[in-house]
Amino acid sequence: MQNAPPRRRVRLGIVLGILFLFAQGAAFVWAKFVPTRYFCWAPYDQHTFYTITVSHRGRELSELDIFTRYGIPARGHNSRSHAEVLNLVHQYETTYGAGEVFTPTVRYVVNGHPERTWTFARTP
Amino acid sequence: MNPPRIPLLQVTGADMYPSTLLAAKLLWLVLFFHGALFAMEVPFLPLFRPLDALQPHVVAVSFALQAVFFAGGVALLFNVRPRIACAAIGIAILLLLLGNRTTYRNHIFICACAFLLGAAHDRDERPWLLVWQVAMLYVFSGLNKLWEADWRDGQFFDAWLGSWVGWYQWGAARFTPGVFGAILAWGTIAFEVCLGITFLFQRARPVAIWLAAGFHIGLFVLLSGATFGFFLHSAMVLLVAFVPWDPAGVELRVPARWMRLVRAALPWADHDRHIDVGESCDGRVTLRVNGVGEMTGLPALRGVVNRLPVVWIGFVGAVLVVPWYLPVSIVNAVLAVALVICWIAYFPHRTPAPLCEMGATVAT
Repeated sequence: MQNAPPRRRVRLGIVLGILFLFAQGAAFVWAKFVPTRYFCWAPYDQHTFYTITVSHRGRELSELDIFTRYGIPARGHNSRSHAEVLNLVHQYETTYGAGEVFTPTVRYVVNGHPERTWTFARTP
Repeated sequence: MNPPRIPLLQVTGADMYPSTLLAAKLLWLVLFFHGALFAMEVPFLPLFRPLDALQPHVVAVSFALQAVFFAGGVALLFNVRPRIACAAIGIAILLLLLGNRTTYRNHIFICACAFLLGAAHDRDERPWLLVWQVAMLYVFSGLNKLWEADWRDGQFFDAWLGSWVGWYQWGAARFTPGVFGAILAWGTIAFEVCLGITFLFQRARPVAIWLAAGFHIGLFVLLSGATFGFFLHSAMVLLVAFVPWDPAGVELRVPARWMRLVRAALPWADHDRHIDVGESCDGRVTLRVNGVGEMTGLPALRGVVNRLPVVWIGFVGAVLVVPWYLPVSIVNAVLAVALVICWIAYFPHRTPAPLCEMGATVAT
């Protein structure tokens, strides 16, 4: 009687590793439909200089207050996508800052193009 | 009497491929001494929104993830279940990134990828998932740039380097506006895509390793010491994982007058007991890689040094710790130069000449 050929063992680690690589492939494709560039290997796709200002009942927050609030410097740069800065501010204002009366404005320059301004519009 | 073997300086006998284990240890040291993960607050504006449910426990969650990173690192350094340790470290880093969108950096993400994929392999298996990871990194980087209009027409380089990099200003002045930037942009895109593809071919991989290291070192030099966070360090260390380890050990033959000294000193450095010492017949220093081939003279001495994890761990560790009190730019520069020196010493002499004497089989 012939011995049956040994069955190839499917290893969970390898399967998970391949899925992890596929997930990065999916992130790469996804990045073609959204402006952000997380987990898709897009270093230095855009060079964005930004300045965040926040007004609260007619008073401007200091740069330290802004850093404490959003976790990023009030003036800085992002090397993947300008949308990451805007999304960050938007996420804060719609979650932790919901119900507050702060009005953040982001002025930003992408790759040396003319400056643009984005203001968070709080829905009543 | 031989000195005791120190697990920290050993890479064989554990449940990971030796080169992968060495790269993982070095990578953890780079991450640890940069301290990038210890200031993170999780969850805070998470990329994975459900993590916000843990917001009331932010201190505990942050501490737990950092504790996993630290404990996993200690286990990894001392070869205690290194695959599980790598998986735990990788998951902890990934959760830290997913849990705080302000801290996402590609140079931290590549570390998570390396730990997770390194943990996926068996002890005798070379890390082919890591090869694919590095290939994807470069190919995707190139293709993502190709997608950007400002890269295609050179605007990106003009905006990025035009105001502060002297050689770029010199080059741009010799072309019509935008042309120099476009040449660099298309060159970068083509290089990154080709580099990633080159990694996938085993015979071309040594060339890819050289090109990748040259690329990162070139950026470091041309951009006045830019290390892109610690991407330079992590990328260079990651390349160590692709170096084949000699499974059958090596034999060092030295002249008779050196025998006593080498026999006494080597066990203090070779904690894997990977190198046997014998007497040379012709008075030359010879390093014989069992079943592969041999090298003589200076390459043999380099070959010995390069096969000692203690050199790598000690050198990287010392460079990371010693200049701790100096400005960050100097620390980065010293570390980068040190890693480059290590790398130059390491790769060119890994492949010995085929055996061709004493009736030995010529390796094919």
